[in-house]
Amino acid sequence: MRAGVAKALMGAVLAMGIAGGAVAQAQMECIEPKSDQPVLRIVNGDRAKPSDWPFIVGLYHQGAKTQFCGGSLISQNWVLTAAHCWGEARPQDVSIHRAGSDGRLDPKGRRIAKLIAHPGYDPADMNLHDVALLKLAEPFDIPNSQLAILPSKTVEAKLADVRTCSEVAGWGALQSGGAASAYLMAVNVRQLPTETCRKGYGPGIRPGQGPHLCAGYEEGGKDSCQGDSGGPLIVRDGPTGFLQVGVVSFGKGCAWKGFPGVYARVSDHRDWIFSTVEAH
Amino acid sequence: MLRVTGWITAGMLATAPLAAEARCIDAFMTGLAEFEAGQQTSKPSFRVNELLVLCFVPQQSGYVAIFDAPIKGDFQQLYPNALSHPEGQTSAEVSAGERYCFGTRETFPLYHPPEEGVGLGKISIALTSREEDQLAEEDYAIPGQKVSRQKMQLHLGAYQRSQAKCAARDVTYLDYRITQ
Repeated sequence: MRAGVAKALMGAVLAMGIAGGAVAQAQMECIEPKSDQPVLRIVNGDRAKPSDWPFIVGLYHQGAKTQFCGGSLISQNWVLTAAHCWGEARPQDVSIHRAGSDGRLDPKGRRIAKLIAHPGYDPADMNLHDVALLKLAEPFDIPNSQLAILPSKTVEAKLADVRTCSEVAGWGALQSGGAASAYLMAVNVRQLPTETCRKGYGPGIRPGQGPHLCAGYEEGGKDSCQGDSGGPLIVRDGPTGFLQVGVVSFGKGCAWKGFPGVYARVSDHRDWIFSTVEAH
Repeated sequence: MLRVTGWITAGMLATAPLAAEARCIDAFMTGLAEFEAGQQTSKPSFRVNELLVLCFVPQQSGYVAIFDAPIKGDFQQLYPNALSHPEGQTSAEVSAGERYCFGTRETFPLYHPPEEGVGLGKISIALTSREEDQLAEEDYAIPGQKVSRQKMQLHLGAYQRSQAKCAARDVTYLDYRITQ
């Protein structure tokens, strides 16, 4: 889902890189898109290998044809997603689905027992603290080895600093304003200094390693897009190879020059996530 | 998952290439029986209680820590462990080109006990040029779970990726499946 500025995943493509299991982070190359590259080439990229994203989920309105947001399993019964996904949606009308072996949403989903949005979420202030937690009514049968792991600030600095090549995935639009993808798509994007996003979006983007994380390419070309909101931005490192550094939040258009994707920085919200799960 | 028993410290075996294609970390995991029959490649699944052997060769000297991301329960540190490093080190120095194997008769047995379930697990082998680039215990936390990187009690899996040229930090993952 996405409103105005809210974004969801990139319809992007993943030029190479993603296929093939848990890959050492340093092995993956971020392919810098050329500015003259036609948009369609990005949109029509490779499909993700579902086994590379065992923790990813889609949020699906009962009776709807497509999912409206993404999320990630951070434990067997908790999903991390974006707060802005819940402007109109009601938890009781939504089900959570993992990726099937063919990359489509698995029809067998889980209901939501509880929705908890970050108390500091502010849609009028650059989607500040755009994270939310969903407690599932019934846990997924997923081993710990397949879960997204949430980095602390220290781990982020060690394993996923600025310029790190990351990956984002979802069933969102393949181009700005386009239709959602039936299959899970993924793309590699580079983490950028938040200053890069401040240039495009303005000073509302918090500087440094704060609540916003900037990722993509200054020249555009690869990005998340509508429908990818709430999905994970990961680095293939850490205990499981699924180190989630960001939550898809918003962008201007998709893959536009000068407007990289803006993500909620996981490390900045890690304490809230842990304390909230423990309290519920 | 994989339980480590025995009393002999983790050992270093003869230097030898593990695979035809050299990577920063060459690794494989297979059954003890297959290993003793000369197998030097990974197999994807193991039975409960099957004895396993994990071997790796770092192409760069540095510090290594091997962890299991289990089917359920704690992340467990396979190496270094209380037997190999009684003083409690959380990473161990390794030398470029040397082969390190665990689960052999010269080291200690590795296996997956039935009470730890069946399914998919994952081993990570992290090689860093600096000891401080290894992760701390709290970095393995899962919300709502009492997860810690316990030493000993580990196990393994089977496939690997690693780049040919070592970086300051390189990680190889071995996915495995435990069956009845």
